Amino acid sequence: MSAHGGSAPVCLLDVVTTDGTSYHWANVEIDVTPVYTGTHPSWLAGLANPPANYDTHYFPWLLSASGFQESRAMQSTTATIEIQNVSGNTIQRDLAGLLTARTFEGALFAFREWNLVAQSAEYEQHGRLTVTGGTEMQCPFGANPLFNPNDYDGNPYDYSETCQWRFGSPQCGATQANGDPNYASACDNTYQTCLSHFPNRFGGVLNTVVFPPAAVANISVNQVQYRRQV
Amino acid sequence: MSQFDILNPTPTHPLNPDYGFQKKRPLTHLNAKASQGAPYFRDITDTGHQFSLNWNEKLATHARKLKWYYEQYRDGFFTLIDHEGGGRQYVGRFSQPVEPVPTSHNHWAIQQVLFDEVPLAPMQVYPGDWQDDAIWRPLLDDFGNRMVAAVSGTWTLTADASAKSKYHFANAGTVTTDMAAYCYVGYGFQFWAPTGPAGGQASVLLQTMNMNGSTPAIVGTVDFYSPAASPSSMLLQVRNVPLGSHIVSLQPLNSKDDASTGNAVWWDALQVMR
Repeated sequence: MSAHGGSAPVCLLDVVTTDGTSYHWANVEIDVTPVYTGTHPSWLAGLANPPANYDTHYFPWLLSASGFQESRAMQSTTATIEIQNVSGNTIQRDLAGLLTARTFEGALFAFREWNLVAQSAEYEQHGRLTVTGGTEMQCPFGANPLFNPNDYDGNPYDYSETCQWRFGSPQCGATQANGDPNYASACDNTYQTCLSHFPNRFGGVLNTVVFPPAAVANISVNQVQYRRQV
Repeated sequence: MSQFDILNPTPTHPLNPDYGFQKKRPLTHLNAKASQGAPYFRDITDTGHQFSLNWNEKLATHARKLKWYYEQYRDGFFTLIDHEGGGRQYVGRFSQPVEPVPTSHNHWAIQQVLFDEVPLAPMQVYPGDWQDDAIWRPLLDDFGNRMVAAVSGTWTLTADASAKSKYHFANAGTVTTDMAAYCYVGYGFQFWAPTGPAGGQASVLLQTMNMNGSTPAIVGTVDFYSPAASPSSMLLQVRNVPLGSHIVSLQPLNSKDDASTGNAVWWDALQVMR
């Protein structure tokens, strides 16, 4: 940005804590249309000169914001946002009071790089904050984007040719004792022994490997690949 | 001993440092500033003044005495008088060993000895040049941020053109647990406030922060009553306070002069000794 000349970009940060309280911080004191609004903090009442419109007023508390990265591989990185921890009356710091009064862990945020000339955002990311520490000078927040494939739930099970249900569990469905003489064989978690119980409840993935001569076409019933990670 | 042991009682005393020594006060505050816009400040330490002293052409007895002052008070403090600066006293110690260097027969030079003022040390004479050494601690800083804290109760910031702060901090004065407070780094202070026909009475408390903690102690009572409204004036002076980080509190007494029509209490500004 600096190589393009002109003034440094204006960085805007909207934060909405989990109880709906909103905060607007920037690296310059400015009035801009916000992304998020919410309940005004009680801290506002203690200001000697409160802004005319709290929702559009950004206090110059944002010291730095770094680490916002985009990746084609959808990798997600945690950015770092530094908020000043110096302002306040002589007894208590503003930010320390705000952190004590409200939960910022998981707070929704919108970060923007604002083009003053165009009056529009050149970059915008939404996410959730995590409190990573704090010093006498500043309080760093981790900023995790909302678009984060790392947060997606994947398949919770192993890929295996053997069944991973516990015998008699609700997933298995068997109601008799394991080794009941009325059935051909006791369960040893293979598809072959499951055939004699509840074959359609088999919790494994059968490889379509043919071992000639195959007793059952396309399905291996003699050779078993035991549970493994893939 | 200690504060009663004066290194240089008179300007002509042989241990009075050579003229032209350096005196400075290290930064005691934090400064946070976004890339654009006004900065924020906060006092965080109570580090005192530092002197860099020189003695030239001193006899061996004087050099030995300066070494003794280092050894004796390395872990304590003694008094240094700044005769060139108006005779103000400082309590502290030499923070580095005194190392005399011979310059001629029986003459020694002792150069760049650092004298560090120590906080929380009692003084024989506390600083009292309110005209030259004290600074104002108004209700708002120059950027309009409120510096005084409403610890409990309802306190109202009201514009007051005649006040040092251009505002005064007002309380109805009927609840004795209400409190406003201000933290500063320095020595003693003066409490300034307006008075008027509806003024009540309040206690002024002082709390000094130290390693062992401390509780607020009443250092005076102020009466805000006057027959006619009067602009801000000094209502209380507390001079004998060691260097440190102090909290001044104002607590209404829910009492008033018989002639007063109300219990209101006000706060304009502090003048604190630095």
